[in-house]
Amino acid sequence: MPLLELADLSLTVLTDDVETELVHEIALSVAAGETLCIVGESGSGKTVTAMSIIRLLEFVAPVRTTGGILLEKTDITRLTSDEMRAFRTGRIGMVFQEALDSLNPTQRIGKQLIEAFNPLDMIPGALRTAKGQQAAKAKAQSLLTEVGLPDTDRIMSMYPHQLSGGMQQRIMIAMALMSDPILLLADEPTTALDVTTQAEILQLFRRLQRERNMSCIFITHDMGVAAEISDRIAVMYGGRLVEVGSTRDVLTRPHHHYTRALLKCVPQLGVRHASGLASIPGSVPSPRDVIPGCRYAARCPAATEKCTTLEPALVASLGSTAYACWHPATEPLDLTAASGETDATPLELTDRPALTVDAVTKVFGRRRGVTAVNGVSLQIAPGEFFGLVGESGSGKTTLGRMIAALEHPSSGAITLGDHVHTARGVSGDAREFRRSIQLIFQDPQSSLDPRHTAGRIIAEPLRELTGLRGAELDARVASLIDEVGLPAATKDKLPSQLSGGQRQRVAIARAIGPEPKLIVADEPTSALDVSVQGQVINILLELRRDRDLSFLFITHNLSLVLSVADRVGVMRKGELVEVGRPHDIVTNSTHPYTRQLLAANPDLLAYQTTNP
Amino acid sequence: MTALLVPSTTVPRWRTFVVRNPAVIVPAALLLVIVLVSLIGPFFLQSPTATDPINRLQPPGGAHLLGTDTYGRDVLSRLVTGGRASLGMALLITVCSGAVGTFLGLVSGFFTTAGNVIMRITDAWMAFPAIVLAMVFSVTLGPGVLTEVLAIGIIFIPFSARVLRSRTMEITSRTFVEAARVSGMGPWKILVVHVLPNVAPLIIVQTIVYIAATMLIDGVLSVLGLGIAAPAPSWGNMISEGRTYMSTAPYLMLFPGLVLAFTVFLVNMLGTNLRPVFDPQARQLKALQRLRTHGNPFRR
Amino acid sequence: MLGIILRRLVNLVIILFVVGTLLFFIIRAIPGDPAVALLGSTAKPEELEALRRDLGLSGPLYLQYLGWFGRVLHGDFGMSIIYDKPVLEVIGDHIAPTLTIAIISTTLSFLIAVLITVWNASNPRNLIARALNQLSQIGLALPDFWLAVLLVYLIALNLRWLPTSGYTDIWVDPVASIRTLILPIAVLVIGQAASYVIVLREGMLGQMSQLYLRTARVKGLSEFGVAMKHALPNALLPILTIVGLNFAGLVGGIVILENIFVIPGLGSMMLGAINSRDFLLLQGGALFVAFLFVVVNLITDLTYALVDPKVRVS
Repeated sequence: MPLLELADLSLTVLTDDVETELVHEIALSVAAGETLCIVGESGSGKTVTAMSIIRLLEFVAPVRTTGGILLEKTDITRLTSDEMRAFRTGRIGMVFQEALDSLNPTQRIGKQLIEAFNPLDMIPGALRTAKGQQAAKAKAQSLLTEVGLPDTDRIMSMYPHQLSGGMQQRIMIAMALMSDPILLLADEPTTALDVTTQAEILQLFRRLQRERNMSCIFITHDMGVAAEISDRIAVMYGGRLVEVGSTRDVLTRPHHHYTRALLKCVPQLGVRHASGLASIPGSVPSPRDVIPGCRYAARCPAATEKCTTLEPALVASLGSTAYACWHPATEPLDLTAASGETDATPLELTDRPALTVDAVTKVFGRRRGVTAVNGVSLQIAPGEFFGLVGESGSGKTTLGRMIAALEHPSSGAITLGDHVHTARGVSGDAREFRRSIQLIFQDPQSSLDPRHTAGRIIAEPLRELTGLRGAELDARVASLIDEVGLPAATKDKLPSQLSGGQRQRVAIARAIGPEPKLIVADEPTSALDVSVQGQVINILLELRRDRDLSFLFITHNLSLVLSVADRVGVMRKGELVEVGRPHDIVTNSTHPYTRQLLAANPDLLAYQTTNP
Repeated sequence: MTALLVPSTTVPRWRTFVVRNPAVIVPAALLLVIVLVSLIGPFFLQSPTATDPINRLQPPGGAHLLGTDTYGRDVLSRLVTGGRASLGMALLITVCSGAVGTFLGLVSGFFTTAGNVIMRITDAWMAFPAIVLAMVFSVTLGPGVLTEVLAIGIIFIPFSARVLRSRTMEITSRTFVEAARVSGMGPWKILVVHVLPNVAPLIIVQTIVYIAATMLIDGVLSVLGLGIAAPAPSWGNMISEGRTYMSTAPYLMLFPGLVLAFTVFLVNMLGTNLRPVFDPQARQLKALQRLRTHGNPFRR
Repeated sequence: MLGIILRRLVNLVIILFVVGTLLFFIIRAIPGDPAVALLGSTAKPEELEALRRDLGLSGPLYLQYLGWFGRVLHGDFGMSIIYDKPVLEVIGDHIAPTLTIAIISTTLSFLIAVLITVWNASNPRNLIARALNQLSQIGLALPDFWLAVLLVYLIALNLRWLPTSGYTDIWVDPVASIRTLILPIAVLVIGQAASYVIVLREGMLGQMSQLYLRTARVKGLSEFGVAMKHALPNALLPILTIVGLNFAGLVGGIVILENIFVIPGLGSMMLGAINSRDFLLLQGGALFVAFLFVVVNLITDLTYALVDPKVRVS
């Protein structure tokens, strides 16, 4: 008898008088003491599913639930709000992605923890008595110690903003455990964290879950995380459950083509993809789209006519898995298939590198200066793809901004062609400098003016930096749109009418328009789904092949940068601690920090090799 | 998921807009009626300044639908004509002060150094006793259109500059402004091409809110004898004149006051309800409010 | 924290200097000669000149300015012509009514607004709570001077429940004082409470969509607990600034109600000063109002910093 059972659960929300079905007939169960990972990309419905289990959705949107959610044989969809409140406390705990925003900014940690003390056997109102308070405080203290914050009294008297991201998430975990829940929901709890912190938090989760024999539903978009933490994996796509099974079976013998493609999209440590990453063509469908048949059919290589007309139901395989596919794959999945490549021969640094950074330092603030970048020197050869990797606060973005002259260095010099950029500014003609370097930003949603059409956005640097006008300009814009693989009609679309991947393509077209020598790409794929990430990276790689273009690729994603870059630099606390070829870094890194990063990186391949 | 709960960001088509936003359309339509009546009405009514000493202080009803004032002038006619002055004045003042405030807000939000200087200036500006300024202007320049524009306009400029500054800073921090810099665009051009269009919805909403406030202050000035001078009617000076006859002819100040309050109410409603149309965040709050007051329509 | 206070104090002095200087020159642009106003148009030129010298109103404008400013620094604001008393003393005589009305009406409005908002937040579907929300839009639209006259007509003249006008010091005769204060304060409260309700409700709604309320609901708090314990404290913070600004504005701006209810406050004083060209009193009064404005703003800002842990502990 499972602890939790979702019986053909469908969810529909109402926005702007339009009904949208976010989740369609999900059937899932979680056994006691089991960790189930729900994996999916944006719009898959994974978060909504979790929210419906704890019934939080109804506070933010009108929502209709059909089917049932049975927790300990109680169908919680039939409870009234008050009954649900009483039922929820002491049974379900939840940890969210945005730890800081999930804590009350004006209340001390201690008070917020104590408020969450509401175990099933407590008499209502007991928290108002001195005895209840004492019990709650003792519980909070022991939990804080348990989650790795032993300095309990000090922590409890602090406010959320005084803590680091990792500590905030530990507080959230402690808070979720205050009432000893039997089911813990975690919605992307490590997504906003650095990879080393993520590894610690994942370990903590695993430990707590085992010690308490809790059931756990862990939502993530990251297959690597799922591999490390789950007993079973459920894969969702477009509001449907497409495949579910034991972690081992799903990761090594997936039947659904989406699961397979998704796994292939994740870059693996030590597997080179310099000629191109795997990706899934097209983009994730919107829940508002009406699609007969399989929702994945439009992107699926094995799709037949049947797939576009009839929706497949979930069927059990011979192993532990169940899948919803008309033409399931049967052979095991080999993630090392593309590993035939070795390190590309690194380009020789000639007398005239594309970029020279010489002992550059950046200090923010006058009195109590914060050193963001500290004495960094590096060179990028013409045509080189240089990856810069680091955690938040490592100074990688500041370095990129200085190279693009959006920020002046406090000391040191940056040489780009004939231009030297120092604390006093950029030497030479400003327009010529701008033409030689362009930037691609992290979030295409925010880097494109919502009120300008894609055509106008792409034309902007051409208009400002080149003499192109009129028909010539239009032709150039059209060819750029074509070059990044967008349909010609994109020209007249607004950013809000494009998908995330399409927006980033527009941003790329804008950047290559003035034919720069160097492009600084600051986390260009981190706001995108994994299945689309490869598309964007491949365009960059292709551009580099076609022109004499160098890249400074800034990212926090170690496996991604190691699989595509010619050389990789690792930054930590403002300093460039190591530079080397990807193969050398993976196999024999010289710096302990780099080794720490490598160890913390969630690794699918390692899972596959240890669980054949 | 959160993205789905936010209503779509695209501005809907005209017809769906009308159907979905009665809260905007109804006050807008009523205001349009008020404006049209005050524009066209006077051509069909007797002169608002024609005196009739025999029929002084006639109560409402009969030949004079809303009665006559102490000089025997027709109240209805004055009310309709007074709308021109009151509405026109409010519009003029708001546009003038809005333009200056917008400029100051944009510049101070976009350029850091200039922004700090401008903020210090608005600090002092706000501390300046507004009513003293208004009185000084009116004594110096004499009551009239220019006096009112200056007196009321000056009160609003620092406030509108502040609100716009914070929105401008918000827009400026978005990366598309930085992308424009990378594209080689100059700062002033960025301000006009990228920032202004994105701030524009706020400017519109704010202008509407200020129109309402201006109409009320215009009335205050009239009562203090600083507004538009008699015999030309405005709602403000009608209330002011009617005040003397409160005990004998209360309708003299009742009607202009009601009309003024109703108009201000409509303008406020329009301003408030227009915000969710432009601002996705306000739209989300509106949806949340509806969920809270009306409950989940699926759960009935 | 101490650094912030010090910086704000320096700011305050600069603002007052700028405001004082501007006031001086703007007020001097008013046509009319106080000496003539005082002695009548038949006075001899030498008499007028002597009086001007006495009042510090002779010689080039910039010298007058420097003279006035020097004396102000020593706490001497000069003599009021119409009251024939030192300016500071006159201000002292008129400050009580204005401050009494401003303090009482602001406090009442704020409390009423908080009550209505909390009630509304914990009973979002209650019809009366929703009606009160809509009424606030009407309260905001009613012209206060019109409402004042209407109330005088209805309650004072027709029903004779309260006096039409006048002011009695609250320490001298509390009952009579309260009877005179009820109408002006009622008028102010209707408008102010309405605007606070609107701002507070929006702030509350904004908090209601914050993620930490999701956490509070997971903990099992009732909607009332969520609204009271979590949303309200966070929604109140930004309102403080608005209340402070409004209060400061009231101190200098109840001219119209003081006029209608014949209350001898700062507004009436300054109106009189303008009409009789009592420049020194006008300058002193206006500077004093500006001073109150910046001080009240400083206090609200510091309170904000004290209440908000993000500012206090960082």
